[in-house]
Amino acid sequence: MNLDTYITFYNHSPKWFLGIDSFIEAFIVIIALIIAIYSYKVFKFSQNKNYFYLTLSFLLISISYLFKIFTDIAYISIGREIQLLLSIFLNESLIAISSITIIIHKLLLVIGLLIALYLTCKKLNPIFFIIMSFFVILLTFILYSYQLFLLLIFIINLIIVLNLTFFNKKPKSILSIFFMYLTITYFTLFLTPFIPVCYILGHIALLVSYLILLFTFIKIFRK
Amino acid sequence: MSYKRNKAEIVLDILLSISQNNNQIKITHLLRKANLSHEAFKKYSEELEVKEYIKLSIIKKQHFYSLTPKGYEQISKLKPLKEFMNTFDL
Repeated sequence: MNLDTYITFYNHSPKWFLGIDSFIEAFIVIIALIIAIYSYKVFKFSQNKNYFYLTLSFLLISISYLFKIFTDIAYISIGREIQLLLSIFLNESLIAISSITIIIHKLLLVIGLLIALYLTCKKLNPIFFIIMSFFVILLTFILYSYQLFLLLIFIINLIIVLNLTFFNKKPKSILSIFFMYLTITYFTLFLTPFIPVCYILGHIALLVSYLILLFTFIKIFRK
Repeated sequence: MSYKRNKAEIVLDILLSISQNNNQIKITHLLRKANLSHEAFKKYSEELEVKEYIKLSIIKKQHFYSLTPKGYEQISKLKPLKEFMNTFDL
């Protein structure tokens, strides 16, 4: 699989934007990690298990994007020319590695969001949640199309937002605002194959979502 | 908040109650502000005095609690954690 094939199947990025998206994702890794670490501190302070789940959720999202960055950078840095030269040795192993890293990225992202879903749906029956999670994770493995995976992530985010807004009645809480932006993000990214500019818009929305969290976090220390 | 406060949160509430009252508060006022029973407060106050976070002083036959520099330091450590909890509201 060369760079073009990778872009067609997974990334859909305009070539000039390759690398910039990884930079945005690296920023997200850092923010998610900061929230995860501080949330763990809060869990130790309060012994409130919800903050432990928040730690897990953000930690998995953070690691998930690390795998995405790794895959993207592997393709960008190797490039087409070097791939042609080393194709005999490299191509097979690159296909194998990228398939694994993309699956790990998908799996960690979906589990991270499922934990966030569990966290925000307090009235959800745990058995129903486990069964639902099993099918969602199974779908993540089955769905070969990355776009369908993005649609799945969009649906999970939408359920989280609806839950926070209508059942928990916290429409103005930082988490509902964050997940609302994520819902917009993943829907925009899902549209990328039909409207190419959506890849850039999606990444801007993704950045904005995490910047909202970062600014809120900074505000806590300024009070 | 719907869940039971743990020890660290109660300690912070005691320290904040004193700090918000110009660093001098009567016991009865403190119990009301920190939402504690007399028995519970006795247990915590002894510990906080040993750790030198608070000190008891008697002015005109009345007992007042005030914060020590270590108490203020503890507030600055714990307050962001509480603020994080209030912001995320989980």
